[in-house]
Amino acid sequence: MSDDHGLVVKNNNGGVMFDSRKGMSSYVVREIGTGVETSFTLNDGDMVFAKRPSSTSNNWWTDKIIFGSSTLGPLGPPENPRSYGFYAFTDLSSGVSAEVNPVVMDYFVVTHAKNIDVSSEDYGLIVKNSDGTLQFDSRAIKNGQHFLITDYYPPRTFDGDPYSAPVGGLGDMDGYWSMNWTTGLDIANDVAAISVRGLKWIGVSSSAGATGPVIEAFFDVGGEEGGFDGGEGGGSTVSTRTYENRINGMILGAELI
Amino acid sequence: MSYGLYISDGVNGAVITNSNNIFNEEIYQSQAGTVTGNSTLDLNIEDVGNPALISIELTTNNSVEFSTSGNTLSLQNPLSGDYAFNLKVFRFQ
Repeated sequence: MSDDHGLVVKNNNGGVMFDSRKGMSSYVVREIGTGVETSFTLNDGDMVFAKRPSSTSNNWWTDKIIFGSSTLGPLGPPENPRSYGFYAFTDLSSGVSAEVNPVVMDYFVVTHAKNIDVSSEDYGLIVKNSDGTLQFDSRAIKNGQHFLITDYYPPRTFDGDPYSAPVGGLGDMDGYWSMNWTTGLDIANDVAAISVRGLKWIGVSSSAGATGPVIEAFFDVGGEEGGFDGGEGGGSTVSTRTYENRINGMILGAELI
Repeated sequence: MSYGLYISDGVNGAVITNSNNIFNEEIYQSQAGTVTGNSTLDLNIEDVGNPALISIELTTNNSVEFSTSGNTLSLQNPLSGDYAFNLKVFRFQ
């Protein structure tokens, strides 16, 4: 198909909503969770956004690193689909020991329109790419469930040490932030080593005036056995902490509209 | 709304109108590949240099650098070894 044939629709802001001349795949909101224990199913390619529930005090969050994970077990290929939830890593005893516990977050999940079962619907608009794959299907969109990307940080924008200057926040303390780049893994139980990469809602101000959640990412090697087997309430003794440089993940801010 | 796009779900009303934003993942031929040692690989992707339109997810060795300009995304491998990469490009609008 030549570039002057097809279907192109732009929104009020001039943005491309769909363009049959381009190879694209649209994302739609698949699931929204508010104030409930979060343990949901995640598929390859899904994107997860989370924010702290407004019902919890600001002080509660200041010493916790929040990450999303499908497992806290040893490294291995993730299952698809897989159960997914949020966890809080907390340093205890002035950084000498730590623990991980499940945490309730507000969240929403977006997925490709092709992943939504629309077999019972026969009403709407479908746009396909030139290779026959699905670009857009209005049947996958639920009434009143839309999201907007508000912030974008390219891969490797941030280092993992939030205490080295300059410290900058991501943005809105009460906004949703993508969690796919976060992780918390018990690398090897016998050496009690873990890798944590997540967000800390401490609302710092940088020299540029930016505020919001900050990134903290490190690799701990413990001084005794234990690790974070199973995650819940587990503890370890930290002997060496190495902060990660140049976080390799796209970080997005979003809001439900 | 008196003009433009209006798609209904047939029951509740509009699911898409002019005012909605759609977040898309760009699909192109070079999403995955290898950047050879001590070389630069240029990929042609429309609008990739415009951060207001495009975001990038790149998985590869942390020493492999990337840069964007216009319609070109460049992967620079300063090491002697070859490294596989996986690249996704997202279109905000």
